[in-house]
Amino acid sequence: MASAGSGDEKAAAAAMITLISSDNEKFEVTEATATLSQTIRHMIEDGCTDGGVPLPNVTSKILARVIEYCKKHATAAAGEEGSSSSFSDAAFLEVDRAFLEELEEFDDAFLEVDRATLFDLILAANYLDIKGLLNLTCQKVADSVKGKTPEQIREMYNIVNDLTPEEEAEIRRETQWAFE
Amino acid sequence: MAEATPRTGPLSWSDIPWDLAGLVLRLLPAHADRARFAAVCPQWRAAARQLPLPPPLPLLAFPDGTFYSLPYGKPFRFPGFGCAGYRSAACGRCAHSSGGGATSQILVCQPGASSWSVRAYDQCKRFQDMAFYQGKLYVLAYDENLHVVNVSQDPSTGDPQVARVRQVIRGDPDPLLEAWWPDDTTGVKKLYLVESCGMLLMVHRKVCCRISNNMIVAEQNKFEVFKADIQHSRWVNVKTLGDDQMLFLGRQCSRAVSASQYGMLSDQIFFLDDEMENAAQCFFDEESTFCRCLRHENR
Repeated sequence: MASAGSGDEKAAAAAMITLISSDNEKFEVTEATATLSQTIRHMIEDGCTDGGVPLPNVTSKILARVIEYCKKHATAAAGEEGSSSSFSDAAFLEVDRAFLEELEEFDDAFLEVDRATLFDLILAANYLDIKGLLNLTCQKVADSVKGKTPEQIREMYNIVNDLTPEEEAEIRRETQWAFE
Repeated sequence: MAEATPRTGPLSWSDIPWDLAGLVLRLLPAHADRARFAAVCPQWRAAARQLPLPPPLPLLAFPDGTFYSLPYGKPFRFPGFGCAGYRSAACGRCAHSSGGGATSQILVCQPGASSWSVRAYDQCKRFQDMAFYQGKLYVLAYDENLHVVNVSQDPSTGDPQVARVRQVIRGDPDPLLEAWWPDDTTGVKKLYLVESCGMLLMVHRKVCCRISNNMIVAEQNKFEVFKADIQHSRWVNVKTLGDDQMLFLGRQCSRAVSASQYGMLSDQIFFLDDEMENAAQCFFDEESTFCRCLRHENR
């Protein structure tokens, strides 16, 4: 985000972007929030956001969650930048730590969603190219399968076992040890 | 920018795009977790088998066929064929030191050969560990002397043979070693040789053991790490393993790996609780072999 400079930059920082979900719902967000998405950042840079940004891959339900994430993380980023000049180093570190803790708590609560929503969030984070959200959601999946058997994972993620008998035999031969 | 193809119906987790499955797999450093991931459905299987991924965390293998997939503390077992198919890190080329603990000789063979060759009249030494470093084979003796081993070819058979063993670092073992162990305990010194970030390291491990109910029980482990300064023929004590390294110690198969690629803390030493190995043989009881993997904070 641009630091306080010319009037033009200030105006740009306060500019609003309209995001349009696949079910045609419109969301007004600040540019700072929207540009956490590299995909949208590039569209803004290319000057093709007039009349709103259509996101045909993202439903309003998921887009609302993604915006919630971006708002929080954009605020935190802006807060960190803004605070650096007005605090001593020690106080700044303290504020920094508090921000990080608050963000972590936010992220934990944010991930309290059902598996279907988690999947849609991963797809949306990937499509919108929001690195932090993608890492966060993939980590959630990785943590949830650690130490689980394939059967437990299928149950958890509602996956039908359509491995062929040949594949099953191959798995048993190669990696049965991992399932006992 | 990603392709904007509208969704037609709800996707299943089995349809997760490969690049995203790859992101999840990268966050699963344990061999066992990757194997289970690959057994969920054909799509996940294909992703796990075909995507380029960083190598999983090392498996700790035991002679009895059990092994550990870090970071899990539960032992696994290969059915039937022991550790076949899993290659020890140090055995890419074949070299072996043999001997019953106290003395040893260096045996060499061509990969795939049916027998080992040993140098006639070779003097037995108390070799502790060996490692390849910058294309050469080094062996470390109990007295902390480091030797470089020149391997040549037998002119008549073409088989590899040990041509010369030359000392490159004269060790300076701690004369007060025995004093480190408290009165009512005994101890073992173990040395490991491992390459890390272009350096050849000697890891010096002191284990304090107590005899309890005819069992040797390990108590305290103390580690010191030294870097080989071959040019000046000396070991240089180092206080850290470096920014991003962790060590796995094992007999002739120690490895240094990057910690961050597994999301783990650097400057750690993992080692097997194997002090029984060199302890009095009469106490050895297979059922009670210690198989714990301990973690050592090197700070």
